[in-house]
Amino acid sequence: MAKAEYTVLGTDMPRKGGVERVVGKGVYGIDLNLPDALSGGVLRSEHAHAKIVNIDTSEAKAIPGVRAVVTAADAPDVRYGRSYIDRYILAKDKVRYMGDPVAAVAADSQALVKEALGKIKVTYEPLPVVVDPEETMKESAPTIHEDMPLPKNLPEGVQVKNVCGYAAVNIGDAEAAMAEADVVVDEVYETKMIHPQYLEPRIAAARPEEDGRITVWANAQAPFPVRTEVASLTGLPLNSVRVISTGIGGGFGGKGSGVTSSAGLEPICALLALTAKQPVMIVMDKAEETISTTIRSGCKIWIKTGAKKDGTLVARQGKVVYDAGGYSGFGNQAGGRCTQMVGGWYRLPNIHMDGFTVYTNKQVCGPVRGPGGPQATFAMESHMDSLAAELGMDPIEFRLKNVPEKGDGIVGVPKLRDSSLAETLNTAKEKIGWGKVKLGKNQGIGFATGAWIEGAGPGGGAVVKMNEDGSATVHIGKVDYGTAAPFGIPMIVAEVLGISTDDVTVLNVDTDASPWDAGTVGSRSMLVSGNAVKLAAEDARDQILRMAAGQLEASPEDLEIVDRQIQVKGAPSRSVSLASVCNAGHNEIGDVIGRGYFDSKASQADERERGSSQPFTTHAALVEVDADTGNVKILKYVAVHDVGFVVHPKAVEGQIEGAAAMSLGQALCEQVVHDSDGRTLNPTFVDYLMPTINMLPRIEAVTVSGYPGAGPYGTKGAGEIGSVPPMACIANAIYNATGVRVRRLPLSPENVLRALREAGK
Amino acid sequence: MDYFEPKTVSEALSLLDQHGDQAEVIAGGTDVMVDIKYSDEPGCLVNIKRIPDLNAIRESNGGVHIGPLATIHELEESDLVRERLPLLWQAAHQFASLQIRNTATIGGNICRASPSGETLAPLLVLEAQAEVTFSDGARTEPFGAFFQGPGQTSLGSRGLLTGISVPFPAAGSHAVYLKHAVRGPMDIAMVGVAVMATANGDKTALDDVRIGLGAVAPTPVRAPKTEALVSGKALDAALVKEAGASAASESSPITDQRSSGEYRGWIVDALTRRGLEQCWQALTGKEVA
Repeated sequence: MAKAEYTVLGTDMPRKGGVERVVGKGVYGIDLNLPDALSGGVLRSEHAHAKIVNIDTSEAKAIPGVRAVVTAADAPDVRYGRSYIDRYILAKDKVRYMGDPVAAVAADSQALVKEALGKIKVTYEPLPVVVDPEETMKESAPTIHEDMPLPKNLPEGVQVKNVCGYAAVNIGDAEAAMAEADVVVDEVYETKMIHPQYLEPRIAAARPEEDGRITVWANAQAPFPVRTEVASLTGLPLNSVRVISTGIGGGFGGKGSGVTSSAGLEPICALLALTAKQPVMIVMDKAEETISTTIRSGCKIWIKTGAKKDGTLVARQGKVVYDAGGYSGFGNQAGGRCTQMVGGWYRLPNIHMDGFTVYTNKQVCGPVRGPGGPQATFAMESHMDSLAAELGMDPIEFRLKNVPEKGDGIVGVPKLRDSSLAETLNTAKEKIGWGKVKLGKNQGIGFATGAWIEGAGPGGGAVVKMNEDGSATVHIGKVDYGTAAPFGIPMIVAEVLGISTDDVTVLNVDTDASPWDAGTVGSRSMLVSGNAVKLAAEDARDQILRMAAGQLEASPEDLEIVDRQIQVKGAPSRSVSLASVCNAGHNEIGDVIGRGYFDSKASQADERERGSSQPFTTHAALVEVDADTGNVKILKYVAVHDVGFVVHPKAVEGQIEGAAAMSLGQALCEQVVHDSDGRTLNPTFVDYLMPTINMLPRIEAVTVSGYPGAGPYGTKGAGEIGSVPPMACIANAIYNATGVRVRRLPLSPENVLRALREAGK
Repeated sequence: MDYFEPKTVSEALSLLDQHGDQAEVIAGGTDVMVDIKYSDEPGCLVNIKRIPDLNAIRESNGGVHIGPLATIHELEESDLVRERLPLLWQAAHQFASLQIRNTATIGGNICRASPSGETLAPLLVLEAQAEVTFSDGARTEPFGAFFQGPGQTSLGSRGLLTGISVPFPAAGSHAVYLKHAVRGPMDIAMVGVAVMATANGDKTALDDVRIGLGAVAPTPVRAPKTEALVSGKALDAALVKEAGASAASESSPITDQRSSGEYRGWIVDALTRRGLEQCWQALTGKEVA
């Protein structure tokens, strides 16, 4: 789309709230300063799997200044969960990972909290621990949840245990078609757990109010699901719980509590506040976060694909074992998505995949940036390179041979109305210089494609309330997470209403006032709140133009708003100020309040009818491998994306760079390391290796256009897809450089050198 | 937790005598502050940072005297260190981030006695001496005797490191410090290798080869067999290969969450080869053939 079509959209206006963040104003959860708040803290299990025989809190309660000590016995006998309702607010009867919350304390100071936590005596009866997702499925493994049934959709005759989710892909007849293939490649891949490691710690604060209600502050991505959990786990009705979103210093899905049903910090804080009858605030410690909050799971992936000599894909079979951890959390959703994505996004008529999501004695799976996708793609796109090598084909040509086109279906999408995959491949090839760059010793180029299918999900609303000076106050249900709320949302409102983004205030979420929303997850902020706010702004504009029409003696259709003036199209001298109309509105219709709702069902029906346009991407990397140490240096990195219409180019670029950097961390060094007892060996940033700036290349983000998506003005989600290809991309570049295929993450110096030595290099 | 800020060495020593094992000495605080956060607090903190004149870096008796309170960044900024002790300078330069270098002291790095401490293997190779002071007197000893195990030094709980004496290396010597870590300088070393050597008169062989290994034994260690293997010889590819394997066999690395012991051995091998090759090239002007 030509930029000239729009005044505001397509520009790089500064982030709303950006200056405050840069200069260190108190915008984050941790900056919250509640008068008279007690400090709160959580006692966490020191066993990965054990029966709780007894909890003695008497000594802790006796400490002067300790105002509340709570255990599961102090809460209603209610469990929570998403696919499996398998978790209490605090562990009851059993603990299932090291870090599982067992009790909580509120006291006058942090030091007293620490002291009191140390005085709670928990008697455990240790049980056998299982940390390996393959082992847990065996008959001999300990049972992690005694009263949770196997999934209802498990195929007949499958003998497994500790399985809490099953997903299948069945397209065509993979077994028969495999027999017809000229070339078959069969491989196994493995990824490790990583923690999202947002820099701002998780917080929760809760204040009991005079009227019996409770106010909860959370730096969570999903305030409404948090409200649901707080209400259910403390026994309050929803209208007695108010959740206010603070600013958020990164979350990447890790702060999706309520959505993941696996962190429980806000309900625990609320229980403490209700017990103490005083405000309580809990701030988590980094090491506590790393061992106890939700993570991107590790998984093992078996993938076998057959192709014709000319490179045409004919069949794929495979299996995924996905680690949910001690509770089901988001495991079933992420494991299911992973299973689908191992099926791929190429033209492939015969696919059979089995996906098992399993309980282990580890921390719980959350919806971390592209849940399931980066792991699936590490396997699937590495495997595509292995196939290309086996066929003796150029990896780009091989992929181009199999890209889906308009009218094709891919896993999870019955019909595409267009396909940008080929364009992203060709652009990446060009930008990285494939076939043109002269490669030095141990240098190589790798590619990997990616997709992030925009799945079904709930809709959401928006309210645009006009003020009498022509400015607008906007309510949406998505939190300010550095994405749509401070960029796309004010830009859409400004565009529709002919005002500046400075005239638009987007309120952070307050469940008492904001429209309901499922959570700021799934790359859906623009799709849901963007579509809703566009409709809401248009509704407000229509109300304004109807009022102005009388004053200007014109029909509303002939009016436009330009730079806060309402004018007759083609006769700009016939105008009246937006402010005067909004002001006059008080005497006519009360407030000008525009309302909009993204109708998810209608949108999905439309996409089925017309076919959908999905975001696709190709990343390319040039690396150099140190054959003596196994160290991999990324010399150049290109990320080509179709994200539909680009509302704010810099914000999109930032999303792509951030997502790629996050997965490059998992590619090169990140992992949560457990011992066989289920203890996390690297809980702090000294030992948990996040990539530092000296490891990361400049990421050249490139967008292709002409494939409008289902979002407002044709946007597509951009927050997660950038995290999908990097691991496979680097693995493929290492293969190109050395001829050695590394099938286990991370591609750390040790794993790479070991693979080189095993290959005799 | 009690907190003391002694103004003199003797005041500090009497506090250590008084509090024994309960006292923790703090200077830059880059390790101690982290420990306090993640483990039990010590009985008291003795902050020696305010003791004057313990941060000097100056020429003294054919070498460099370094005060233990000199920060790593002060070493990095010192012309004397850069010109006369390039090995120590390289280690300081690869030491964590600038923020850490600005506050961490060389004395802290030494007394922490972590096998991976960046300056330790270089000090062994430079054959530096520790000046250790107790309330009943001071002595000097080589760092080989000073380091007794992970976190263990000859200071025990009652001594203070009050000076570091580093003799100037022989004229014409060359030295390299090679660090391997996943994130480069921003990380704790998985392996650190310090190599120093001189050439004979006609530049046909290496003399006085010294090799120090960090992070691959309970203390930083020298590799004496490997040093003997290559000293007095011309380096060729076969000898370099042999030396790498020899150094690896002189190390005894552990397996932990950072890497396996086996991998650390491979890296000792690789970095020793690299260090020797670089010294050979610098000293003779020739590549190892």
